Amino acid sequence: MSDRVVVRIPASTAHVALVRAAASAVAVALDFTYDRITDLHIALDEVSSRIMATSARSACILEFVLEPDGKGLRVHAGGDAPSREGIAFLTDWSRAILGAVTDEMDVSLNGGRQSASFRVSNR
Amino acid sequence: MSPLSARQRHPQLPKAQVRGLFLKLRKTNDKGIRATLIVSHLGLVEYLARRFAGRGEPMDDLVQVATIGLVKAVDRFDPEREVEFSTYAAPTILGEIKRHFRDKGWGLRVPRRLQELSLRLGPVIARLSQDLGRSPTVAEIARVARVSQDDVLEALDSAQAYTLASLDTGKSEESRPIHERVGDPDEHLEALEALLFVGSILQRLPARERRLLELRFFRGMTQSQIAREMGISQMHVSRLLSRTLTELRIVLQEDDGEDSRPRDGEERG
Repeated sequence: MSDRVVVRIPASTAHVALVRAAASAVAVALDFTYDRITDLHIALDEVSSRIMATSARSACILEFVLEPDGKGLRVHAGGDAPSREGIAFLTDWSRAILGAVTDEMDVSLNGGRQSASFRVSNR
Repeated sequence: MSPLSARQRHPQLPKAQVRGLFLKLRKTNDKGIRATLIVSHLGLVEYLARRFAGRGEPMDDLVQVATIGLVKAVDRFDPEREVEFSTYAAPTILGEIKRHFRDKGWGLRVPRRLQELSLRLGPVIARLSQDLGRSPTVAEIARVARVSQDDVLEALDSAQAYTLASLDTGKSEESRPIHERVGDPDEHLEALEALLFVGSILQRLPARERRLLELRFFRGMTQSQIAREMGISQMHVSRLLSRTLTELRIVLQEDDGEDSRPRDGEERG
């Protein structure tokens, strides 16, 4: 049985708290420290914010895949709308934040849609 | 030598002079006048912030937040109106303090049980962090606090949410003139000056928040390490980080002309 958890939310900042809650529950099961749970929240907030900031206005759903990998949690996040042209998906500031709170970070563009993957270890 | 009171360090200007300065500010947009107006009202800021002392937030946080309210009031005040600036500014400053207590975006009313547990967990986390030499896990916190892991998680999540009902019952001292109520030393002038004079977004933050971001994101320190370095609790570091990043995100995106604000109610599909 896979431990993979998929969460789909309306593309609004208020609903991102639901993803944070789901991620917290998974993180507790993986024995994350309090520090790392907060880091996980910061990463989720930042990535969600960038997807919403850079996707076309028709974006309505954000999808998060939470995948435990033994000593941490891998997260894949994306929206259902193409990216807006002329806006960088990650700003320098976003990169600084994500670089500090995640262990691995990757962004990709598929079918005009930006997505991000990151991993946060449990301590 | 006894410390100077806010009133002594930032004497309140006569009403007529305040009005004159505002009229000049609106014509010239002079930063020096703006700074003078702000500094001369720091006593009001401290008085209003003090009304919310003892409600779980450090006084210096409250003063910083209240100062942001003052800056907004100075920028928005219309001197042509027949109202004194302090009368106009007080609700703006109070609004900023109350907003600080609110869990933005959710407005949750946190059950008393969780509020109390949240307060109880702060020292537990601090002690465990010291004993373990690292941030504790939720399981470890739960074991020492003798509560369930779910309770710990709920309490930690709720640590940023405060109820407003109790805030509105702040001590009322309006019957006394403001100049009699202002009190202790102000340590935020430096942060305020940064807010006023430095252009970049980061430089507009209070000094402590800037330092927090620097330690976490540019020096790679963990929250536990930052808590030790800055002499505040880890929960407080977490709360400050979360709040500062949320505020920065909004400001940065507004500056970029991007729109990532909640799209609730927006036509979809």
